[in-house]
Amino acid sequence: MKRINPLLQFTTLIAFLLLAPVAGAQITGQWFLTIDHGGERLGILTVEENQGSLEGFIDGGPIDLSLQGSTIEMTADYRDGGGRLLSRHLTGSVANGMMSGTLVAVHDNSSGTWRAEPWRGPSSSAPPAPVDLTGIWSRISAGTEKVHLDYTAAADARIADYHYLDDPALRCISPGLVRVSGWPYPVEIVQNDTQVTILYESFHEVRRIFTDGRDFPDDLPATAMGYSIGHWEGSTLVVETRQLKPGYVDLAGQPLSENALVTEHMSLADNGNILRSLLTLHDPEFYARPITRYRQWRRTPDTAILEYDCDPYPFFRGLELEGTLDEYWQRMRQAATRR
Amino acid sequence: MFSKLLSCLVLIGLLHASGAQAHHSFAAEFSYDEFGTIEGEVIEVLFVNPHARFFVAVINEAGEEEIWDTQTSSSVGLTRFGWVKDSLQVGDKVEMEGNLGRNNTRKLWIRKVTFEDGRVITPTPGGAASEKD
Repeated sequence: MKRINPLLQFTTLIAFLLLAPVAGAQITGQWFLTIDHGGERLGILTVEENQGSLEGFIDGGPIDLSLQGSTIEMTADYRDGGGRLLSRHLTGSVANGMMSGTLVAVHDNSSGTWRAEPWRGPSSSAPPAPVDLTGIWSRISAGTEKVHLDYTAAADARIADYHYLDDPALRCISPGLVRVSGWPYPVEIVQNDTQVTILYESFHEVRRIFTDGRDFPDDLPATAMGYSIGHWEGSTLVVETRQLKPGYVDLAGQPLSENALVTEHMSLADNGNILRSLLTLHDPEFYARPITRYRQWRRTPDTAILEYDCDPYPFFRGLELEGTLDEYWQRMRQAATRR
Repeated sequence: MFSKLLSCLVLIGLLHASGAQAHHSFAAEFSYDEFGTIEGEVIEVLFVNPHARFFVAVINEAGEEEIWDTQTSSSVGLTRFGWVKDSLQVGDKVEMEGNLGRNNTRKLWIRKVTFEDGRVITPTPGGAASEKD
C-alpha cells in the first residue's frame, strides 16, 4: 500500500480550506446560462452564499449545486413538452471568470454542453433606439423549462390541490400571458410608433403593447393577457404587464396571483433573424424570487398563421365517457365559491 | 352501425415516447411506457384545438361495445403535418396505436393510424401521406 506523506496531506488540507471560500465567492452572483441540449436553451443561473454554503437557482427555481475547487456540479429539473419531470446533470469547471462543461439527461443519457458568463441583468440606460420587430416568428426555444420554483407556503398549498383538468387551455380558455407567450405556435408582430401588437396563433390572443407613454389604467378588469405598456432601452423593447387574471404559469399548477407583474425584455439577434424575450415574473405571494423564461423565435416570413379553431366539446365528452363529469362540475363549483 | 372487429389491446411496452409534443399535461393523462393498439370504427371526429380528438367504438373480447377517447396533436399542428379535416372520418374502420391512458382509462394518444386498405397516417411531419404500411 502506498503511504501518503502526512505533511503533504496537511498542506493539501490547508490549501483546500483557503481556496474553497475564494472559489465560492468567485461564482456568487448572476450568470447568463446557455445550454445546448437538443437546441440552444437560454436561462439565468443565480448563485448565492447562505451561511457558508452555496445555493443555486436556474430561472428562479432551486437546483443542487456544489463546487470543489474549480469543479462545479449542478442537477436541475426540467420538463418535456408533455409535462414529464426530467433532470439534467451538469458538470464543468470555473476558469477565467466563465463556466463551461458537459451535461447528461438522467432519463435517457442524452448529452450536451453548457456555458455561463457573468450577467448584470437585462436593464440598460441606453437612450431609446427602437428597432422594427414586425414579422412572423416561429418559436425555436422555450428556454430551460425549469419546473420546480422557489415556492411560498401559499404556492405549495395551491399546487397540492391542483388537478390537470384545472388547466383552462383544455376547454379552450386562454391559459394566460406567461404560458401563451411561450406556446410553440407562431406569432405575428405589427408595430408603429405608439404600439407594438403581437398576434398569437394560440387562442387567437391579441396583445397591444402601448409605447405612447401612457400609464396603467385603474378601472379595467384583470384579463388573461393583462395590460401592457412598453418603452425602449436602446434597441430592447421593455414591456411591463399588470392586471393579469389569476391562473397558472406552468403545467403542474404553479399559480399566478392577481398582483403579478411581468416584465419582458425583447431584442433581436443574428442580424434581426432571431427574436429573444426574457420574461420575468414578480409574484411574491407565490414565489420567493422572480421566475424567468428565456424564449427565442426565428423570423419565418413564409409561415402561415392558422386559425386556432378550438372546441371544448371533446373535453367534456371525454369526462362523460370516463364517468367523471359530475365530479368535475363539483370541483369547478367549489373553485367558483372560493373566488 | 358499430364495427364488429375484435378488440385488440396489446401492451407493446417501453417504446421510446419522447415525441410527445402536447403542451398540456400529457404526463398526467397518458403513460410514456405503456403502448396499446385498438381496432374499431370512428364514431365522432373533432379536428380541432387544443387537440384533435376521435371517439372510436371498439368491440371488446366479451363482445361488448366500448368507446375509446383518442387524441393527438392540435389541428394547427396536424395541418402543418399535412393532415386535413377529413384525414379521419366518421365510419372509418381503423387500427390505432399509441400511448395508453393512465389508470386503465380507455384513452389513447395516437401515434399511428392504419386504415382497412392498409393506408397509414401518423401525427408527424409528412405523416399524412397515405402510404401502405
